[in-house]
This record gives sequence, structure tokens and C-alpha cells, in this order.
Amino acid sequence: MPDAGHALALAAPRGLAVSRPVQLHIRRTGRWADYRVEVREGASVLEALEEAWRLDHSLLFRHSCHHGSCGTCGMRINGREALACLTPVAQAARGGRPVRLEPLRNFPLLGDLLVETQQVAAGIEAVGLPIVRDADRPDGHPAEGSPPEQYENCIECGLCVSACPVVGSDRQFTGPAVLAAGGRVAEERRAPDGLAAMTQVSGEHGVWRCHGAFECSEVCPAEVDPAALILGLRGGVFRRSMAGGRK
Amino acid sequence: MWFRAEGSVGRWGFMLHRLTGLALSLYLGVHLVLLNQLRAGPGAWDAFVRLMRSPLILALDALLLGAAAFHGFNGLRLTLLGLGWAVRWQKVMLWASVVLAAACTVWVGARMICG
Amino acid sequence: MKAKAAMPSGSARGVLVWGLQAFSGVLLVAGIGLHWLAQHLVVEGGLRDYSQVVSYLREPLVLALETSFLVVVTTHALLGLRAILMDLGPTKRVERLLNLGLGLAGIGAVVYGIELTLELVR
Repeated sequence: MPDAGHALALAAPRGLAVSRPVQLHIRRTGRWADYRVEVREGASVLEALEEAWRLDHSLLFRHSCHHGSCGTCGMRINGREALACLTPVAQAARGGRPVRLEPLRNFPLLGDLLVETQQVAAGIEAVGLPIVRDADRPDGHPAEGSPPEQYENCIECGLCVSACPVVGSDRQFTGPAVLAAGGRVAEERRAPDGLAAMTQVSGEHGVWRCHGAFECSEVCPAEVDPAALILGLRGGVFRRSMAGGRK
Repeated sequence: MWFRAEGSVGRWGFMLHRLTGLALSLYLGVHLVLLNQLRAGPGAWDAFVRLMRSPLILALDALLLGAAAFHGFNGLRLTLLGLGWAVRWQKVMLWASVVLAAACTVWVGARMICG
Repeated sequence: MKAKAAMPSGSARGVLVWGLQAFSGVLLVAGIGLHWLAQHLVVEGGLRDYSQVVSYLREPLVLALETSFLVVVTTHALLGLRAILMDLGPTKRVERLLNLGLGLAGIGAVVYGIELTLELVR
């Protein structure tokens, strides 16, 4: 069983002639552990992690699609939030440095690299995306690239929540993922007024706690640009208030 | 905590805005307290003013003005962003705030120290 | 007549606090610039001596502007401190104490400033 200070150098990738060595420095529960593995050229950090798992089955982490659409392999790679399946080892281990892996911040830790992100999905569901009937669509589908369209790319990975400096200090803060969903609802012109229904995003620990650090948009792997949605939502709430509540 | 030496330029801008705000708030308190010297009459105040003309204090004043300039320009940026306007220009505006603040610091510093 | 839309509950205070912070901030961009120019660029040597301070404050327009400046800068500073403290996620009770404490500090600062000015110009 590997522990801090002992790097295992085993497990060449099966059936591949060209491989590269990589050292993983992983934050496990209460300690750091090092693994030295070999991966194919062009491998992702997730593949390297899977090689490490072959050496040590007690290592906890989540993975599924391996192509950036499920959002389950989110973690902090060299201090920055990213999806492990989309991060090339060549980039993460540039210059031969060890790749530092840590769990996402601001979520309950289940063990090693595994955190509980259910609150993101639950919060987004609570915001309530509208159901729009064909009969209620006067102006058709939103334009491509518009904020409502962009938000559809959200894979609920939680990277934005981990990166947000406000979530780290205010546990009551709604957070960028749920606020961005709120922004999506507010942008939806085909449905009944969604803004009024979003009590959980509009209070002082909702949209007013965002201070425009833009970390959420920096780390979003799906190009949702949550910061733009959140600031648009804030602007909408403010303008509506100034207009005396009139649409 | 909100202060970590990491992250994108947006995060650094957010931290710098907070730090300059805290520094300016502290300065406001100190400034109001020091104005109490005026109650002691011309002798005490004029001696205090002579002290404030030392190069070190003038250099600190220039830095303070730089902090105020960044906080002000970035504050205008945050006001626009908070209304949902010019969001795509947020990085440009942030760098503009930094450059303008640096320019103010240099200009004021040169003026104060060189007379 | 446009339909009256419902405001999401909980937003009124957020709108008020942010609006006041933004508005006072915009005023201060000009205010601090003017204050700094008036204190450091108008007089020889860049700092007013005692007699210059008194004669400056005796101008009614100056007195009004500097008093307004004090109110605006104190409001903005205390709302900023409040924002930082609110980010720590205080309980409702602590939040009320915070609002009270900062409010009293603000009133105290403004009263002190006005009282000092009136004593000097008497």
C-alpha cells in the first residue's frame, strides 16, 4: 500500500509500445501519497489516475464518460479546477513535475478525491427550469449562442463552486452553479415570469454575494460562462426593482 | 477564505479591490482621528503638517492615491458589471483600471516628491 | 400600462444595499478627485496650514461639499466593510448586530466631523 514519500514505479500501459512516465502527488484523506505510473502518449490525467488505481485499489475518485460530458471527474489539478479526462498529462506534467491532484473545494469530502456534489444538482432542480408548451412559443427558439443556449451545456460538474472565492467563506451563499441556472430561468422569454419564483437566488446570500471574481467562468469546462448569466440576473433584478416591479 | 494567492486575473482583481477598500477604510479612520489635531490650534497643526511633508509620508500618500484610483476605476467596472452591462469587456476594464491606477501613482508620486 | 411583475422575495435589501454602494462609489470617483485637488493642488506646498484650513471651511459651498463628502465616503466605507463581513455567513442575530454597530459608527463619524468643523469655523 503506497503512502506519503513512497512512489511506486510499476504498471506500464497494456499493449502500447510508446509510453511516458508520470508522477502523481495525490491528496488522500489526511495525507499525501505519490504514485509513479506509465501512460500512453496523449493520455489524460484521468488515465494516469486509473493506472494509479491499478496499483492501489483503495484510491477513491469518480469517473464515467471519459470525454467531458458527465462532469464526474472534476478535481483540482496543480491547484486549478479541471476535468481530469480533458487535461492532458503532457500539459499537467510539463517539465517533468509531479502532477498534484486534490479534491474539489467547498463540497463535503467523502474520501481522497471524492466529494459530494449532489447539492449542485438539487439546487439547480429547485430553481426550476420552465416547461414550455409549443402553444406558448410566440418568438421561437432562442438564438444560437444566446445565454439560454449556452447554459444548456452545463454538466453540473461543480468546478465553478470549487473555484468561487465567496463560496469558500460564506456557506450560505447559493453558489455560481445554481445562480447561473437562475440566470437561465430569468432569460427564458417563452415561459411565465420565472424571475419572481426564484426566491433562493435573489436574497442577500444569493445573487448579491457575487463580487465578480469570474473564477467560475475561468474554470467552466462547458463554456457556460456562469459569471455572465449571474451578472445578467443581477442586472435584471436591479432594473426591475428600479422600474417599480414592472416588466 | 476569500484571500488566496492563486487564480485568474479576475480573482486577483477581486482581492485587490477588497484589500484597497480595507486600506482606504483604515486610512479614513486614521485621517478623521488625525484631524483632531486642529482642535489643538495653529501651533500643533502646523507642526503636524511639517511632519506630513517628509518624503516617506509623501511616498505613502502617492501609494494611497494609487490604491484609491484602482478602487475607484475598478469600482466603476463593478458597477457596470453589476448591472449586467459590458460583461464581455470585464478583463479589458480590469487591466485598464490597473494601468490607470499605476499612472496616477507615478504622476502623483513625482509631483509630491519633486514639488 | 405595463403589467406589474412580482419581485423575487429577499431581493429588496440586496437591491438597496448594492444600489447605495454603487451610487456612493460613483459619486466618490469625482468626490475624492475634487477633495484631493482642493487639499493638495490649490495651496502652495500642497498641504493647508491652520489658517488656510479655517478660511477654506468658512466658505459655505465648501462646508456643504465637504460635509456631503464625509457622509458619502463614510457610507461607502461601512457598506464595503459590511459586504466583507456578510461574506462570512453570519447568523441573523449577528447580522442585526453588525448593521447596528456599523450604523452607529457611521453616525458617530459624521457627527464628529460636523462638530469638529463647526468648532473650527466659529
